[in-house]
Amino acid sequence: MNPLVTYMITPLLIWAGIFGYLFWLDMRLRALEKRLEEEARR
Amino acid sequence: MSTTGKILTGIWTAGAIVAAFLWLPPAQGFRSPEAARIVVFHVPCAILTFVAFLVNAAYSWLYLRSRHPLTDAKANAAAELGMLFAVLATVTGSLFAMEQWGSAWNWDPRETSIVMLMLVYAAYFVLRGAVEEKSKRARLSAAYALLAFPAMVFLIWILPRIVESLHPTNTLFSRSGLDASYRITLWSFFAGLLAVFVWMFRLRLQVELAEARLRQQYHRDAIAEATLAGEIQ
Repeated sequence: MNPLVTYMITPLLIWAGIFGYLFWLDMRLRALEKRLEEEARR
Repeated sequence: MSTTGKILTGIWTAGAIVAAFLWLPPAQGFRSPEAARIVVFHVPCAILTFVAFLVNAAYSWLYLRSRHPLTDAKANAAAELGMLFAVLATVTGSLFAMEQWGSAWNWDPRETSIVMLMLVYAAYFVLRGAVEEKSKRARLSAAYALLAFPAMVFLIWILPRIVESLHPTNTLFSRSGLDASYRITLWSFFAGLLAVFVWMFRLRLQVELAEARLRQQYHRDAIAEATLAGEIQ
């Protein structure tokens, strides 16, 4: 593989990992908050 | 983390990435001098793996002293982040190895030790998943984390130094190691990643607290329903 491509992929992979985890946490938090709101309304 | 903090973190890390592409010269002494820039991204991930597992051990020890559920949640959050950064360090390291050593995986002591480290902490998550009772799970996983900690120190700091390795040692702090511009960019990226680490850690704890609140709510509902059923009878 072209070294230029290799080292440009590296930060993208790091950000994909980090943002993937952040996105998953955020989605989970939103879902939990929604359920808490629904439970409070019942 | 405040919105300003998040924006500043984003700008800081983006700046470090741009510096790695535009400011750093190709590194001398490498087979692929251009691809040597990967070091700037790979090494901070590896250091953060160590930091995360260190935090995990510290909170596990604190849990065994205080028995506070939040301390257990913090230990778990740190272990999750440690695993994430271990995977990122492995993937970025493989890309670098492909350019530098001609193969993505060489069974180098450091490569082998990070796989062993991931297995050790995978067992931590298996243990947590296997015990249902909360305080027992927290107690057992804290004890396991304290046993895993010396293994982690051995695998990261000792093993690669006593066995011949393709990885260089003492390049981060000594002047004879990496060029100053590389060290500045590497530590700047590390600072940015550390801020992201704190952000993720706090978000993970928020999730844990929301789950606890929901469990409490269900528990209260179950008690209310049982009381009502008793009154009707």
